[in-house]
Amino acid sequence: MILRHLKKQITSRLPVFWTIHQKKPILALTAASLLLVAFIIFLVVSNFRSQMALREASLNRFRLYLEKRATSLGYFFSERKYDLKMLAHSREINNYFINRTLGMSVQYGLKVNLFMIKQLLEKTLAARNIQGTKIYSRFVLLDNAGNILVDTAGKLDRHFAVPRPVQGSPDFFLTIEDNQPQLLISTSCSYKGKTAGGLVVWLNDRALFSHFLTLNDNNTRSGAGVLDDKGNTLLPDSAAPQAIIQQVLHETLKKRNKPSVFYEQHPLGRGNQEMLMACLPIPNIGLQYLAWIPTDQITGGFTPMRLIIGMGALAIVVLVALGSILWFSAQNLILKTRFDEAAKQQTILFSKNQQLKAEIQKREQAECELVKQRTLRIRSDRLRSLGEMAAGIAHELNQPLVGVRGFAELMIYALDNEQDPSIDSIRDYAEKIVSQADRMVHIINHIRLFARDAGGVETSVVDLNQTADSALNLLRAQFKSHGLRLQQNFSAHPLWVKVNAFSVEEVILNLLSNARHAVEQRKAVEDKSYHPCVRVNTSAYCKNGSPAIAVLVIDDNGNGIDQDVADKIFDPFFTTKAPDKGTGLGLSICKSIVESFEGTIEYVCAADEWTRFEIRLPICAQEG
Amino acid sequence: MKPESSLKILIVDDETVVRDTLTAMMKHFGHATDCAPDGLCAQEIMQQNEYDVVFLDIRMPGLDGITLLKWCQEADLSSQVIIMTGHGEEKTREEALQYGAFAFLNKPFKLNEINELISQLKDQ
Repeated sequence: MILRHLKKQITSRLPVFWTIHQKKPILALTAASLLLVAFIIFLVVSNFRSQMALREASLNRFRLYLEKRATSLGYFFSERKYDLKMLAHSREINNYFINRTLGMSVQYGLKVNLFMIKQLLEKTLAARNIQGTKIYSRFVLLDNAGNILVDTAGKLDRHFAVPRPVQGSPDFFLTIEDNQPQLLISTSCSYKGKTAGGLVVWLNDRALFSHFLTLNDNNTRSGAGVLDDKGNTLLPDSAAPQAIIQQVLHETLKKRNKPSVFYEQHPLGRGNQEMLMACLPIPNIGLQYLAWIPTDQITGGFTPMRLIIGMGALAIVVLVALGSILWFSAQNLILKTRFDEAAKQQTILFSKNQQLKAEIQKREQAECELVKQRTLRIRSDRLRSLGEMAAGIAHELNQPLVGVRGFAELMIYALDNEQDPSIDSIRDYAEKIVSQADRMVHIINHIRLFARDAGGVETSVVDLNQTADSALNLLRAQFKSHGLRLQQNFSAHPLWVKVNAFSVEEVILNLLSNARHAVEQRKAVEDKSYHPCVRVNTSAYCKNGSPAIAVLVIDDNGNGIDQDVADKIFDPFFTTKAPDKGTGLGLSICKSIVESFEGTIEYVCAADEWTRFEIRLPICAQEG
Repeated sequence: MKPESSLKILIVDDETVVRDTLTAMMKHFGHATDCAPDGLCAQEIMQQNEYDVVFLDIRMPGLDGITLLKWCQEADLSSQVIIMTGHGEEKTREEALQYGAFAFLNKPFKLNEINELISQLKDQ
């Protein structure tokens, strides 16, 4: 349920294109990026493996190279051993030991022998060279006590503290002389199966370093040396720091006689540099061949780890870039869609606005039209009530006309037929005619003012009783002619109110007209016992002992007001009459007129029985 | 009808001016007149006195002209009734004649008309 809700929510929030239209391209892009990732991983792995293989191959090649070097050094040393063996068994040395054993005097016999030996050794020293570089630098012949018998360097007085040569095969050893490491070969000289002395030779380290203890490059950071089993070393001048060498030696001693290659980090040159160190036994010689070289010279600049890190970084960069592109393109799509939608919305909004404007214009026109219509209808309503009053007006005018005509004819008759007409009676008739004519003028003026001023707002202080009477006069004849009783019961004292008398008359006429319709409608359905009656009463409502409010009540025993429409009767254009019988403006006009004079209009009714309208107007002091 | 030229006449109208005018006219021709301002008053007077001619207005408060005319017919009075009205509708006129009115007079009436009517009544 929750999941479905979530899904719905997500779907509703995602733009439509994302869910439907763009699904395939996005999938394709994702697949492409996954493929790319796989490809990068494959590249990294295969590259790593090939790099590892290359490295292995390089190392192997390097080891073979070093083995070759060690082997050639071995050959070289074997030759030196042979040289020494030959010298030790030479006739000159043998003769010396024979003569010494025979007891030949040193002064005559032995000196000659030693001289002969020295000549032989010097001849050998000079003869043995490699490309002009002497192989040996010094020969020394010792007796069994270690005394120097012959020294090509001429240092006979010096005690020689080299280890005693072992019987048999010549032996190599390293020693320090004047702080300089020296490689020496010693062998014993025997006479009649006994050791009679020893022969020691100094190898020229220059010959060694220039021809054997060197690697085939000019890099000062690489080099080679010799190591014996006591830990003494013969190294070139630009040798790696002793600490490194010592560490290598430590490792070497642990794996003695086993050809091995080490990798060591050590601060040689700039920063920490990985160095490749090798230690190989020299065949048939009790020495080790030591070599070192920066690893990158063998395996290339990049180590596999660096390669992996580099490739990984590259892959991450590529992936991030791809992801960014995907994201941006998605964002772009979203933005574009939103932009399109916004543009569409704007267009819709614009057209809506136009519609709205047009509607507003139409409405304004309609309102204008309505005002016009309303004015026209009010006018027609007033004319209608005037028309309804026409009968009353005719009746009102007819009465004085009877007098006017009658008295005028009597005057003529008297003047024509009487020989001595009475001046007084003529005057009396004329006065009566004038007074009736005045009455007619009054009626006509009233009608004219009513037609002109009803609905007006110009106020004057008038007696509400008189105003009501004027209105009743206009309708009395009408009521009479329809057989309806119109009763009036006015207060004894005048009720002074500040109103527009004709407007109030209009209100009373409207209410009386409604009352007339109500009683006529009831009359149409009732039997003969029903006596339609409309009453107009006025009274004063006193406050603090003095009259404060004038009350005019119009009630009828008509058919009342339906409860359904009771709250609408004061609405403009609301009517229960047929369209040709009323505009529906009467009561709304009444209300607005009464309220404009700070009065109130209310009503109570009993459906099908009676209706009572009550108008209240504030009483004011009489003016003038 | 009496041979004398003088007639006894009742004028019934709620309008003072109408009553005054007719009274003045009748007086001029030498007839005796009484007046009543409404139907009920007229009914009362007619029960007490006998009149030759009754001028009767139709629209009146209380008892209207037609009702009074009917009453006259029912009471079998000898009086001739002349109906007066402000606006002579044909329907009202027929109704009045049906209930035995002698004549129908439209307001404002002419002196000649009244003279003629009086003459006709005298001749009867």
